[in-house]
Amino acid sequence: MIRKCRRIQKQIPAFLDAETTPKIMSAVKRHLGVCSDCRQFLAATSRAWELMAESEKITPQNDFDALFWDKAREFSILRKSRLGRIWARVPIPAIAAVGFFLGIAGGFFLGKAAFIDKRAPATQAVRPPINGIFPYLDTFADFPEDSVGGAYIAVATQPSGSAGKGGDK
Amino acid sequence: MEKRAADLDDTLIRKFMSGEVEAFSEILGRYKNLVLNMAFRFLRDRTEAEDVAQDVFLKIYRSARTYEPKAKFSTWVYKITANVCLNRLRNEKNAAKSIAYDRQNPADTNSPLFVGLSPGRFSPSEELEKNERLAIIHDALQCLPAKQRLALVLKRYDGLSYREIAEILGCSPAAVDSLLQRANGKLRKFLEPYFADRGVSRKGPLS
Repeated sequence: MIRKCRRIQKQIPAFLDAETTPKIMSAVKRHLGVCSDCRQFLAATSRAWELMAESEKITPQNDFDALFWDKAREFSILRKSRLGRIWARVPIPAIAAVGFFLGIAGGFFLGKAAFIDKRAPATQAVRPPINGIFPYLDTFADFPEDSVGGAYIAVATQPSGSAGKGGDK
Repeated sequence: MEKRAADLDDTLIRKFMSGEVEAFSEILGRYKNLVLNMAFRFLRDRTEAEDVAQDVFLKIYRSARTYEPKAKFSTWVYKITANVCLNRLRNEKNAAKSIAYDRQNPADTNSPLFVGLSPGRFSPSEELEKNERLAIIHDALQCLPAKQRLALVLKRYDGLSYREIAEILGCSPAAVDSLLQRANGKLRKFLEPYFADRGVSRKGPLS
């Protein structure tokens, strides 16, 4: 019973305020019908609340409004000057912000371009066929005789005996 | 009636938002008693309550232009008042005092709160009894943790519903119920020694 009373007494404030479920309301009502201790508890609670409700109410001092308007005016002046200060500072942060975003955008595009260049497959330098430069050079004999190559070939292909003989003469 | 008051609040705030500063005078007139008394019941200091009320109206004045009528204007005013009161309590020495009281055994009648009020020294007379009881109730209120005290003030003095209190404190109605239950329980423990032998139930004079 005591445990039940404790549970019910916990619900009594919400019961008095009608801030509980209908189920709990009817359970509390039922219990109050049979328990004098809880009835007494309820009466004491509502009496204390009545007492609190009767407590003094204070009224604002006569200069409350005037004081408030003084503060409000002060605030308005302060706000205006603060706004002025903020506006004076606006260009610098704005320019900084624009510069920052331009930097990021530029960096992005540059980086992208550089990245693509790096990743592009290296085109192999195609050696022009030797025939492309010297299309007439099929054999060593094709070197013009008056060219260095021709002179060299002529010397190299001379029979060794004739070379010696010529020198002796 | 309540709807008409809410409509009037809406009209006034709209007028103020559109630049009619005079509309704020009316708002001030309608709410200054409410704000001042709520602050006074919470802080139990008239000067501080006046300060808080000034702060509250300045905040309303500053932010009224950005006010969005999602909830009732009065709920918004209560919310600002609650926040200013809680901040005040946090910032000032009261916070330390309150915490010290909170940490003490609530039923400890040797605590500084009860010096001069303990049952042995208490000599009630019929005509003073009511005032004495009220003073004790108010002193006991000051020993509750801030949120419980605020919930109790809003419920008992301002008669708000659990839902409205929940909106003001930024919690659920179930949380408000739990806050009030704890607050009532603590108050009962505080007040038992003073009310038990004065014709109020020994079991518990105040839930």
